[in-house]
Amino acid sequence: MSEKARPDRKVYVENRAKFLPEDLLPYADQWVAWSADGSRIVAHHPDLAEVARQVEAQGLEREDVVFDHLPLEGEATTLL
Amino acid sequence: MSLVFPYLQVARGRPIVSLAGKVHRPRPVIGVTILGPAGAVPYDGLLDTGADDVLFPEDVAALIGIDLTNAPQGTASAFGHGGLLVRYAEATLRIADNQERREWRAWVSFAPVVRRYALLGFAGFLQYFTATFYGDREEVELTVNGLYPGT
Repeated sequence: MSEKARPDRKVYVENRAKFLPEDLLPYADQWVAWSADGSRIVAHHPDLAEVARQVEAQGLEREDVVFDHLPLEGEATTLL
Repeated sequence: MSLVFPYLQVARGRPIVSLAGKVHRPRPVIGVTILGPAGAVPYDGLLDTGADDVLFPEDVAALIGIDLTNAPQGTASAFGHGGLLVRYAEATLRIADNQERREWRAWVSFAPVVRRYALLGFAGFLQYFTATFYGDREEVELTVNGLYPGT
């Protein structure tokens, strides 16, 4: 199994922080694959296996992305 | 040696009353990769000192090639679901920062519901680390302890 060096987690965090909840509404209740630097969503679909297929169709490996499932509101703005 | 992770910063879009007007929610969410016979899935996991186990969605088990058909089962109370059926399987977990990488086998629970993050609870995760949560720096430091079984 391949093992790649991932971008600095700080870069991922900084880029993810730029996404407002409303930016994520188009992907609500879907699986998404974030680019490893957190700057963009490279694939999305209600089915996780389909997201993985889309990632691989772009010539990426699964370890090039971060998988995530977005809630109905786009982002959970408060966790309790 | 320790692994240091910045908190995930979740944009709220408007000032948060309980954080004196900050516009981002800092959360102790770290990158964790779960590996099985059919590959790896990088994911975000919430370090949760109140969680008993590690928990991922069942969809992730399928993607990494773990068959839960005859897996040991249990029930859990989680995120508004009382009596939630979870199924357990061994998987490899991996975390890394710029300086260090850790990888170990653990029993992971899988649930048929999806929540915002994987849960990184005691059994299989926090039991192997000394975790220091820096509220001021919004970072968490993980240092392996004597129970750590991996590499």
